[in-house]
Formats: sequence, C-alpha cells, structure tokens
Amino acid sequence: MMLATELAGIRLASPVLAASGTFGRGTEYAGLVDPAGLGGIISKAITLRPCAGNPPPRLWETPSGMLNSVGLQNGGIEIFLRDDLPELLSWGLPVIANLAGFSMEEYVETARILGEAQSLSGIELNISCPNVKRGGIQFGADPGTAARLVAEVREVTALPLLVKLSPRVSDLGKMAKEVAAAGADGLSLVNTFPAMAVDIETWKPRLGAVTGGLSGPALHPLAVRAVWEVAGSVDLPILACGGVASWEDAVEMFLVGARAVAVGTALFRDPQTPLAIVEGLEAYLHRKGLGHIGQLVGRVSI
Amino acid sequence: MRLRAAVTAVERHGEAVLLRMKAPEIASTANPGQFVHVLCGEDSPRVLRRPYSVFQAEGEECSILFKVAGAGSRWLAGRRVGDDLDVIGPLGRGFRQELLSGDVALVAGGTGIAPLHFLALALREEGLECSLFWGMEKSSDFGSLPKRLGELQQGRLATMDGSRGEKGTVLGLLEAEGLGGFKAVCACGPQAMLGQLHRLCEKEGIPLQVSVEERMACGVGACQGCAVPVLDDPPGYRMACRDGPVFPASELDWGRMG
Repeated sequence: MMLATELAGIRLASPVLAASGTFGRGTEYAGLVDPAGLGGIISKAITLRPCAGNPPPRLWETPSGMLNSVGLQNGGIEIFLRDDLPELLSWGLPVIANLAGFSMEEYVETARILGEAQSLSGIELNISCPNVKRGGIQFGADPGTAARLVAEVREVTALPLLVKLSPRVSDLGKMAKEVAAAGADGLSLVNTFPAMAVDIETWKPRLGAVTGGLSGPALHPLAVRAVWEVAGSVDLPILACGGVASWEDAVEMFLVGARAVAVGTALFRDPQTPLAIVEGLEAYLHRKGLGHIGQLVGRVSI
Repeated sequence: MRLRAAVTAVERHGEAVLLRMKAPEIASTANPGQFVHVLCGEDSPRVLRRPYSVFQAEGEECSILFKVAGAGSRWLAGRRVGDDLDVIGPLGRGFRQELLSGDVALVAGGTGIAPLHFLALALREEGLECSLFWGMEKSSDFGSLPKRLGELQQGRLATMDGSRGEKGTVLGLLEAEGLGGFKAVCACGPQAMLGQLHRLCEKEGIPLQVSVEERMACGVGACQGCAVPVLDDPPGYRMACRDGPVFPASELDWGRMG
C-alpha cells in the first residue's frame, strides 16, 4: 500500500502508468508487461474520426532518445470504444483516454462521447502533440486558447480531466494556472519535444513528416525542470512523463512535485520497466524510512 | 515471448555475422519471415531494440544474419559464445506459406537472404521446389555462405562488381532468366529492389510476397512507428512489426513507400 496514490480523483494501486501512445490497444503487450507494476493505462490519442497518421519513416533513434512522427494514427472514437477500450480494461487497471483533436468542436464532441463511457477513469486532454499540422499543439501554445478549450471540455464531461501540456511554451507556470482555473483536475507533462534529424548522405530529413517529437532519457532533465516549475505554480496533481526509465528517474519526478509518473519510450526497450520501477521505489522508501510515496512529493530541498 | 538467450556461435561470413542463440521457445515456434527483437547493449544510450529476421530455427537454437550498420549491430557483432541476449520473439507475420505450392522463386538483396533462407528450409521440408536468386555488392560480402546455400537449392548469384555469378543486380539476373516458370515469388531486400520486383511480377502475373525493412520501436504493434502504406480506401498504413514484415506486394501502396 505504500505506493497507492490518487491522481485527480483517480485511485491508483501503483504510481506508475503506461504513457499515451506506447501501450497500443492493450493486446500487444500481453505476456510482456506484468500488470503488477502498473497503476493505470493511458490510451493512445483518440480523435473523433479515424486518422491515418503521418507518412513513413516515423521513427529515428537518437542518443538516449528517439524521434517519432506517428501523427495521431487511430481508428477514431467509435473503434476505440468498441474494440480497444474493452481490451485495455481487461488489464484490470484504470484506463485514461488521451483525447486529441483538430478543432475545438472535435475535442468537445469526442470528450462528450468519452464522458458517457462508464468504464473510463479519466481523460488526458492532449493539447501538445507536436506531430500534426493543425490542432494538437496549437491549442497548447497559447494559455488563453488552452483555457477556452479546457473550459468547453469541462462543460461536457464529469470525468477527471488531466491536461497534457506542451513543454514548448514561454511561461509554463502561467499556462498551468490558466488551465487550472478553467477546470482541469490535474496536469500531465511533458509531451515530446519538437525535434528533427537529417540524413547527411541524402540531405533529407530522417522523418517523413520532416519534424517529430523527442522522447526517452534525453528528455528527462528537461521534463524534471518543467514539472518542478509547474508544481511551484499550481496546486493541481501532476502526472510526470518524460524519459522515465528507472526508479531513480521516478523518484526525481516525485521530489519535484509529481503525484504519479508515466513510462513511455522505456517500455519499448524493456516492457518490464513499470515493475522494476515499483520494486525500486519500495526498496527506496524502506531505505529512507518512509511509509508512503506521498512523503516524497514536492520534497526537493532548494 | 521474452527470454534470455545464450549466444552459442558467432560466425563471420565476409562482412556478415551469423549469430546463433539458444532460445528453445523461439526456435520451436518461429515461422519463416518472423523476426526477433534484440536488446543491443543493456546499459547503453541506444533506447531501441533491433529487429532481425530469423535466418534459421532448428532444435533449441535460432540464428540471425546481419551486417554491422551502426552502433547496435556493432555491439551485437562483438558478443561471444556464452553471452546472454535479451530477446523478444518470434514477432510479426511471416510468409503466407499456404499460398505457396511449389516452383517458388526466392529473391534476396544483401542480408535480405535471412528470412528467405529460413523459408527455403521450410519449403524443402515440405518437398516444394524453390530457386534462389541472391544479389550482393561483391562476392566477398558473405564469405562462404553463398556456396552453402547453393547446396540447399538451385541458386543463382548476382554481384555488382561481377566477382561472382552474373554482373549486375539480382533484378537484371531475373529479367535475363525470366520468371515464366515460377508460380510465386518471395523477396526481401532494399525497398527499391522490391519495388522493381513488384512491377516485374505484376507484368508477369506472378504473386509476390515481400518482407519489408522498417525501423521499429516496440516491435509488437503498440507504438505505430513502423508504418507501411497500403492500398486501403481511404489510404492508410499497416505496421511492419505486427501486420508484416511480410506483405503480399499487391496490398502495398508502392507510390507512397517512405
């Protein structure tokens, strides 16, 4: 029980979640991921209508990281509710739907439909996808626009609402405050950083979509700073994401103010990362003479 | 399935490395065209596993064939007998063997020989005739492997420098020989080669299955990274790791390949 936590009203047996876009439809990791390590699953991004995604190549590995430009490929809300959600729920864990859109109306309509799904534990509002030309990050770049979107979505759903922030804003604290005032129950950060790589032989970009998002350990210190800044600005619970690959990474996130962490890129390398983190956290708490993970939250000493 | 596989042999064949590992659960279930996802360095800045087509699966062992192309494969090539590898597999969908009834042409470019070698072994076991066409830069690329494979089935080589077999590409060799006698073609190699082969097979009316090479992250269909364009309506993508890496060539949208 020392790791049980609550995030924006969602009760989690473990503070380690599977990050959006890395856990597929729930079927792919059966037998490879031990559910004992996981506190919950965040779905891949769901849009109102089916979305084909970006042209290949969509992946490029970089030192301690990777670029992706998947571009929100998904079958749309209908397919998600019919095919994917039951599979995700079969893990016996809280499922949070990552919601993306290309217009305010699409976000709101998808949120309304998701809000009717009794079995969902929450919504992660994705206003920070760097891989679509319109929508996504456009809504997360300006605090006023982000707040309007959050307020509209808040109107149509009673589900716990986490807002996933982009690291690419000039004042993260201001963004967090506006989004909190608009009705968010929690914040999720960070999304991938906009990034690019070039093939020096062909002089072409490595990704078909030219740019993509950087994830993996390379991102971790940037994410730690972002979480620390936001935690100092608002009182909302924070789900921290960004290069978390070990229990040590997770502890850092808790210390700067995270209530839970999400593991993404690390799953590709080692699907048992969540279990390893949970075991490491328990041993760490014992060693520090602490009884509960909550005793770490925000305790960075400055 | 994920397991620790002990390296049982690391053979150099010219510029290629044939690595065998003890992986009973993978060896007993792998089909030709499937791949294994190998962690190349457990404490390294490389965050992704590397996918390799199975070259052979026999008894408790399976093997992969690769050239050193970067830091991951360099690490792998440096393993010694007894070292442990972290391997997930067998993954993906292999060749649709139910569509093959004999007189199969196997067309390989470079290390694309790996899945076709496994397929040739399986076809031979079923008593089906197949002929191998293998193209490479120069005869020294794969050491004595071509000779060994020549004993397995009728084999024809093409080298770009003419140092062995026909001079030129494997496509040139195929065009010169003609595909007329074959009922099906299975291929693996560079994308440009596969595209040309697709046009050739379409012209001749012979069904073609191709194993495509894409960079992968998860390897199990979760991350949607290894997208392959298909002729759906509307145009969409399938995943090389889950829906492939082997696809009927007629399902792919060759004009949109990356």
